[in-house]
Amino acid sequence: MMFLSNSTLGEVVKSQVEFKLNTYMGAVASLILVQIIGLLFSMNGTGSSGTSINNISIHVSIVSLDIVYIFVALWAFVIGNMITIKTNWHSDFSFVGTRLSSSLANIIVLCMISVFAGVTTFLSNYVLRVILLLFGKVDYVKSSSIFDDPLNSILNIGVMIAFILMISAIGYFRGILVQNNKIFTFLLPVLLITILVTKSGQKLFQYVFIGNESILILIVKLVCISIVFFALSILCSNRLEVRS
Amino acid sequence: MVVIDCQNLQKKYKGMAALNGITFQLEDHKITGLIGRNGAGKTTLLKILAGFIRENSGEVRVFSNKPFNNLRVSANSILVDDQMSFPDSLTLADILEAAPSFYKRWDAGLAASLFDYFRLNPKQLHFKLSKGAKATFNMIFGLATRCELTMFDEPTNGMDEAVRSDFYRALLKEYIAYPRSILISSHHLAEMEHLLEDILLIHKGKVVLHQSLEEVKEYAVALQGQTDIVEKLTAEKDVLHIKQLDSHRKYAVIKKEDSLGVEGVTIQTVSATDVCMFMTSERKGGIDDVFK
Repeated sequence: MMFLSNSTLGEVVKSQVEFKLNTYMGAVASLILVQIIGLLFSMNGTGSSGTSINNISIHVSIVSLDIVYIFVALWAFVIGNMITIKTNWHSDFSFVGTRLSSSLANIIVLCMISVFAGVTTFLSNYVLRVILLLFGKVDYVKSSSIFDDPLNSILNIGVMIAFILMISAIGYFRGILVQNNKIFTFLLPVLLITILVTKSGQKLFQYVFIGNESILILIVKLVCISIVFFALSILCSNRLEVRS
Repeated sequence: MVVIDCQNLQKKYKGMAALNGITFQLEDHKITGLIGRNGAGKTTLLKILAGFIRENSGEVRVFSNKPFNNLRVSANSILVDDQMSFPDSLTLADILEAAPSFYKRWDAGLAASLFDYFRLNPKQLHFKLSKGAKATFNMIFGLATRCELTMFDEPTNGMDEAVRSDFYRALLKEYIAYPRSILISSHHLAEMEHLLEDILLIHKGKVVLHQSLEEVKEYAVALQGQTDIVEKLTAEKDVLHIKQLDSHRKYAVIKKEDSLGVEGVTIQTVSATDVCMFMTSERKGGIDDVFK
């Protein structure tokens, strides 16, 4: 008599998410390093002006976190991509799982990582202020705090999370395509450049990123794009062969 | 109850047929040896059964389900081979710790004691293990899952002599204590003959033989004697193997039948290993023919 164990999709996905969070702990830790490096680059400031009135000279530096954002975006792309590499994708099949459960678990993990990355990146703003005051040549730092405009701050965090999620979704999709066929390693950059130089491609970018009436709409757009890429990834990975 | 049911299973790799119409059924709670030459299609068959790859045509059912993308098959079967991979960031101890949440019948006690016995280092990373240690760890993992269908693909590759015999012993003890269906592929039939009940012999992507070990041992007989007598006896028969021993003596293997007793010819039994080898060889002679 055979006794078969029955696992539901939900149970398996839950186990896989826990397992993957353990596995990618190092990758999440690397985010902190990426942010620190970004902060160090940011300290010089992106623009400055100076005036002097009656022997008092005023020097204004504009310091922004743009470099941190760029670094974190790159990191998100790499993480999305890393999850699909052979050892990670194949190890799911040493345990219990299907391609669908693996994809769902990967997506949930990417969402969780994006939230973590979004919040910490937003907070790194405050770290920068402290660093500037302690180590920089400044006497006064002016910037809005989370309490000045809580709603706006929350929306800013939301945009950050949604943006990181979208980049990681693109990275994930790229990884799945490359697993399907190595030719995408070359094909995708070519495709991206083609889109960037064509008129309709530029219009698409403008539609998504520029001219949004509110931040909320931008967040919705970014999340929708992420969902599209994740859905495409699930479709593309559903026929992937393992250990072949 | 039927665990595996394959009907005319075919799989092609870039136009080359790896499986060319495999048909067989596997009953539950048996240890079956999947025997075949290099490139016979053993690994391909096991990967299809595990749901790793998809068949091109034909029917395959494991626990009455199609294995590709099936959660029930995945939860109740495991394929242990040298390509088994685990995340690079996890230690062996981490892997064993993660397993019970996936495999409901995971035997942590067995895993721990085998782990100790084979002196594996719990802090070691899986991808850094030597070939033999990796094979040992994978074997422990496979046994501890207690999956209803446990498949091993060349499990002893890389293991030393002592570990090999320990492995076969552990497999047998586990099987007796917790019966399950075990499919084990190898090209060394002789060293695992003592644990097999059935043999599934495949050649060039087809099933050649699916019988109990006892039947395979009785399958053929060897005739040895003067060339002309042996030739006369085997003239109208299906000769599996033939060899000229010296200038006037010949050795021939034919399918077993009664009343072969003729003076001047001795009749010998043929081991299961030899039966499998002769049935899958390309020509009647052997390597000697090349050097003639």
